[in-house]
Amino acid sequence: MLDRSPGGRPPTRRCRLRDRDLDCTGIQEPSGLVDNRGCRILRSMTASHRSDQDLDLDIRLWIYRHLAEHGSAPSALDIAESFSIEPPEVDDSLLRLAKEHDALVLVPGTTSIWMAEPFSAVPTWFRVHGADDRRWWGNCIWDGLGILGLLGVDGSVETRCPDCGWPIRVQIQNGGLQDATGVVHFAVRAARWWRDIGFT
Amino acid sequence: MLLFRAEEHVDRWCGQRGVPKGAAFQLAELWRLAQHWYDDRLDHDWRRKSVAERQRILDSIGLTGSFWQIDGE
Repeated sequence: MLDRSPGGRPPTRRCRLRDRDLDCTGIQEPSGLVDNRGCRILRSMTASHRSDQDLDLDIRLWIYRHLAEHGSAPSALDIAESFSIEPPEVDDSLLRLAKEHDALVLVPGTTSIWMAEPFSAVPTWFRVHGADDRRWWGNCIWDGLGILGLLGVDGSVETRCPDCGWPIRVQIQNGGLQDATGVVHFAVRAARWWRDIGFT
Repeated sequence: MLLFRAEEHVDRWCGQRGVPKGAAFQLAELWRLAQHWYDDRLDHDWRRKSVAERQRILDSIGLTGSFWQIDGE
């Protein structure tokens, strides 16, 4: 294990990833290229975390990559095992990511991940299908399309008209909007979006 | 943010629920917005965009006016 602590000081934490976590193939950036940055970050986890900030950034990215690949959020236990840290440290990091970094939304009163925008960790009315057969949930139509945009993949977002229940499918092909049926409605003005993100 | 079949469905839905109608627009604008809003979420050093940065994205899509002012209150 590498020790990159400055001046040879003992690190505050050591993280060691299992081999399976180092497989970065298949991840695509919006450009369609393999995400070498992600590989770099994952490899960096073999080094010590010098601060809570380092740990938080690594865990945040790991959660996003997990959602991108699997369509579901990792549990706190998953995170603890992959980073070789104790569950209370995971909880502390998740709370910091939610409260200080505004990077996650947790289920109220818990450290369970509810949203990592644009991903939803729970089923919603916005089912996202990637052309590569991956599946995700979006928090809203904006986020459903945001997932395809973020990952740079073609696919579709399926939902239903809240008024009449009519199924609506929005298709993205070759990076462009193909089926433009439907009207988007924002009920909440921008200044209030983050007051109650669940409602927004 | 919800997606309706057509604008009259927005009107009926808002009317039946007593929800004030907000802003209704086309999917093409939302697709442009979605592509820009989350483009840095897989960056390791991600930080939430500042109010000014978010406002610039909305402005670039043509979403202007008081409804779209993030720092409006």
